[in-house]
Amino acid sequence: MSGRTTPPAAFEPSYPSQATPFDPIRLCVYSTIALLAWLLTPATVTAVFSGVALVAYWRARRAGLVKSRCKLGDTRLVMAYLGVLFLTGSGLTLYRVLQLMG
Amino acid sequence: MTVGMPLREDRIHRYVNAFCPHCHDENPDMTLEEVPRLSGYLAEAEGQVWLVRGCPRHGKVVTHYDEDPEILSYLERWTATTKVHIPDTPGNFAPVPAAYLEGLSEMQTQHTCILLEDINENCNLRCPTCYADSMPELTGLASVADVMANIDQRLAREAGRIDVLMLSGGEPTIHPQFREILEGALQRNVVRVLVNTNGVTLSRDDALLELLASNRDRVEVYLQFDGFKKETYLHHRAADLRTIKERALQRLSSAGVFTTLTMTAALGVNDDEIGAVVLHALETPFVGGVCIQPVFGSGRSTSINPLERLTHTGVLKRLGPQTSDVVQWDDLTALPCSHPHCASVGYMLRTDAGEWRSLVGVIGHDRLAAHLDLVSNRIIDPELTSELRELVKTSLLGLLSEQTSLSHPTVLDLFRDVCEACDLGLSTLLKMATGSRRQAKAMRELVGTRIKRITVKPFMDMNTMLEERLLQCCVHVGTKSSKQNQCAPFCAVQAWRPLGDMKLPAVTRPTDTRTSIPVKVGS
Repeated sequence: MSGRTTPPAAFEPSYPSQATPFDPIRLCVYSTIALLAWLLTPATVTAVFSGVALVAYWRARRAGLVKSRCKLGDTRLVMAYLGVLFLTGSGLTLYRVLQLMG
Repeated sequence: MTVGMPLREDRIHRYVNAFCPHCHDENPDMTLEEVPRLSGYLAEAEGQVWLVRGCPRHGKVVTHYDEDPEILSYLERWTATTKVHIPDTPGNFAPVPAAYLEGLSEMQTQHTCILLEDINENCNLRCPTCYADSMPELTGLASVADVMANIDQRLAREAGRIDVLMLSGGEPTIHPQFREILEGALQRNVVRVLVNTNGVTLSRDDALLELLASNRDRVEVYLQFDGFKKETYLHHRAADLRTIKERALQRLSSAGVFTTLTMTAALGVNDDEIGAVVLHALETPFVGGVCIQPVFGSGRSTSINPLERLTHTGVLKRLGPQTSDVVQWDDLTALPCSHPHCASVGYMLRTDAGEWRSLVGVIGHDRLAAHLDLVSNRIIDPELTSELRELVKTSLLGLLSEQTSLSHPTVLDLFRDVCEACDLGLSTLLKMATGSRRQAKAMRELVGTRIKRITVKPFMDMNTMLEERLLQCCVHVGTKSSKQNQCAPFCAVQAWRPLGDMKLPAVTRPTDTRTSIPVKVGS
């Protein structure tokens, strides 16, 4: 007998075998996120949400939104407010991280 | 973030039930009730088709199934409604293969197109390649009465008519009562008798040739003919038989006996001679055509690599390049009555201008496929009416003449009859085309020189065995149980020893020798 000695690689198992137990890694990830939130909030929450809102308002203004239903009215004022929040939140988060490390 | 599960690297072609070649090799004597049917699938990978099945003992077992997915899909297009069968044992719902211990089961989905009667075990050759494991020392011999009883049983279960009876062995022509068996078969309502022979006796025995020639209207010869190279014969037959084969062929041709060249083809041995054998068939008068059989691993064979072998579609795709495009793969279609993976057939017709054209090429693939749907549910009178004779005659003459349009609608009816009668032999075609004795000689000459049939017949061994192909098999071997005469699919009988032990010559051997013959399965 000559020639080919192995089947195509496509038929080699490339998936977790049934014998390997389930790995609940997602629960570990969720726990870590909760820990970080505990240590870093509320500054981090402020930074994250104000950052997301800043980007959203930036896009909205470019799309033509001049006046918002926000109490501040003018979208430029809203972005300025969010920018302040973002810088404050980010700065305090950075300070907290350095504090934890140091 | 994860991206989800990756795509498979193979592409599933179809889901199948298969068997484990490793289990079979480890325990060839296991009872058929113990043979596990395995879940599996055919899948495309690296441009080829693979048979994958899961075995509880050996895990995932992968073997080479076919060489060209595109041609395999083309073959699967040619299907037709199969015919009703009568089970040998009513109420037999046992699973494959154990079901066949009691003959054709209730779950078989095709009747017997070809009944193969092994009449003896002994042979005048000792070929390294022999699915029947024949050799000169074997003594199993079916009596005339045994063979006739088996044929009669089948006739009773086939509404009184057998389309094709194939006499095989061993070498059937050395059976001491070969003449009586042949004549007995011809006395019955058997449309066509094929004699499966290696040609050794025919090359020198005038009486045998005369016997065949005198019955040539219903008898055709399947002559084992593997090629033209000395090495080919040394590999398959352990002897240089070229002169003997050529002499046998010339004698048959001169006697006007329709002969089919039966080529056993193996990868790296004689797969390069397929075109040469086809062209030889086209050129030789009264060679009705060629039947190319990729070598399979049941019985005795030199080792076949289960991961790289010559396959059905591999033979088809070699036709064009090896015949300078005289015959191409799409000149053949799957034989509609059997499973589309089990046989392909094509008729080549030579026009007045000397050009070979295929029947399917003349009719057109789409038109033929549409016509197949039309005829598959049609019931026709098994008797040939005079109108039908005239129709076929007109069709043939139309096909072979440039004066008549080759796309004449009656040509379709010729193919209808090919389908209805499960692959017409040329003698049958001739009978249909001939209205009177006066016309017979001229028509015989015409058919013998200008119509050729090319078939590819890939038999299954345990590396390629599919349950669905067994269930739709229409080539059945006569077998005998302690209770009755019956039959079973050809590939099952060759692969599983308990079924092989039920062949007519085997049951005449003493019981203790039936499973003692060494069998080497090529895998």
